Amino acid sequence: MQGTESMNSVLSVGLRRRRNIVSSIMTTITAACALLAVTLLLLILGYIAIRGFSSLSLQFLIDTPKPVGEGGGIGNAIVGSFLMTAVASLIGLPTGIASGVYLSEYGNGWVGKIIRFVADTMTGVPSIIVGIFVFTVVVLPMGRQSGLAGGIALAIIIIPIVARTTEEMIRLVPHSMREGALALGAPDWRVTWDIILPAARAGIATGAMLAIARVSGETAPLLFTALNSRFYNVYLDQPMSSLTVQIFNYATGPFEDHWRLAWAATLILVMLILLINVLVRYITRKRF
Amino acid sequence: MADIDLNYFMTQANASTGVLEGAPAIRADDSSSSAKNRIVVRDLNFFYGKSQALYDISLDIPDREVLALIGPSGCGKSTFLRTLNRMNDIIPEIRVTGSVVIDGENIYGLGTDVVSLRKKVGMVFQKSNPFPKSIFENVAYGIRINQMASGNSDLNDRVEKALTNAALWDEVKDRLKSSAFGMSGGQQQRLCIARALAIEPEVILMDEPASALDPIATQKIEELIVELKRQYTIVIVTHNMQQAARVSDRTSFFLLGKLIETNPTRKMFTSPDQKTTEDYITGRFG
Repeated sequence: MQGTESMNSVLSVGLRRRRNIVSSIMTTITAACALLAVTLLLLILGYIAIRGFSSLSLQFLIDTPKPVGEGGGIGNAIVGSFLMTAVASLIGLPTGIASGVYLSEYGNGWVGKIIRFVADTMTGVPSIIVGIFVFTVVVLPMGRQSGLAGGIALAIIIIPIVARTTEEMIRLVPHSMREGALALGAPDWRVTWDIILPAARAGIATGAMLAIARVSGETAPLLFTALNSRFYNVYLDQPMSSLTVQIFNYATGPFEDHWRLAWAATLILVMLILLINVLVRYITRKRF
Repeated sequence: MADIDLNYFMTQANASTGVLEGAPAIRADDSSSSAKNRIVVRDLNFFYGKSQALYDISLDIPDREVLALIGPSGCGKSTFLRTLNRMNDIIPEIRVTGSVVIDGENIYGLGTDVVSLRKKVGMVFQKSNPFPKSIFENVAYGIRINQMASGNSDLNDRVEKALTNAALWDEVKDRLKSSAFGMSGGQQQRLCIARALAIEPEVILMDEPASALDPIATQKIEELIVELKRQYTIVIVTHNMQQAARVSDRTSFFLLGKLIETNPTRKMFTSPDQKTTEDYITGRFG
């Protein structure tokens, strides 16, 4: 009895030692990777901040683009980005959330499986393909690029993301809550509307905001669809400027003056996306 | 109090069954024949897909009675409970044969409105499941969806009455607007009872309502059940046999999907008709 006990403890000491070593090695590796990821992100953000901040001014935020050497700004691009993101949200969020509700509540059959598969594929489709698609079905019939076409392209990107996050968030609502409402005599649709959606509200809002943050950084789907504009434009049937396309134009041009403006515009874009993410944190902070 | 006597009985029952002799007459178990039967179950069979969960259950539940359903896990007592308000309907591929007649209407007949059935047969679940709303709104929800209140003051009155009947009003009257999730487990369960009471059901089904609660909260729920018996017919599933003994008038013993025996609770826990019931109650299995 004593013999086996001491044997066991000898074995376990060796084993424990080996495990401790493996454990510390793995911890070090994961910590190093995490550090690398964060460092890269901070480097990018820091570089953008340093390069962008020097060209930042109130005038820059208000002005429209001007010829080289005359300054110029991104006022119209900010308005355009805002308008197209709004159009995309108006179309994409209700459609996406409704699709998510369908998937979680009624999507257990083959129809649901197909929709889910398509949505998953859609989230992986390169956004330029969405741009080409909208160019074909919206821009060509309309005869010109427009803010509306840009907004539709962004909406197509939003829908599958929001649909899948909404579905996941609704599935997280405890089944007992649904039973509780059904047991009170609530019909199915009221259970979904009164109980399930409010319970999943914070999660759905997070998904929606992240989708908006994602499309507000998109360039490719806007290149063919919204094109760009040198002027303030609030008419959705006209070509429209956006921060991302403006950055692209400035940055790919030959003038150093424009490169500086591109950096400043990039800083603004990053700050806007950061603002959206902070809003997400704020929304999810308070849970009932 | 009869309940206390019974409690005493329960602790003694295992040691000697002779205690019963000379005990005062048990409440007439024939009361069921004179009182109106609220629920009449006949030849009820229940299937989850191909596997049968209930076999030929026949049972009468009189008005204003507490019926306890006992039996080992998986014996079908919860399934049976959930056939009474058709909560099983939300599970795909179930099949029911036989009849459950509540107030003269076969709830598995054609054209039964499940929504109005569930208004008549309320339910309290094992795990408290308040909605992500305020305490007030939790109770008001059933009143609202069933359009029972004539106005705002009527709604307030109904909520207060339900909370009072669930012995919760005094504890929450100053924080009706705060989240239901901020309450203790026992309070949440009483809130769920208040929620069920608010829609003025005739029958209340309780699926192990105190199994997740501490002894003090459990005692409050049990006192509440005894109190509610004056107005409602109550069917309660419980794993706790002392609880069945304390709160119920009659007890049904389920085993492997079959109803083995239904008898007045005292008789059930002292001299049951069936040997298997005695074996289960005295802890020989299950």
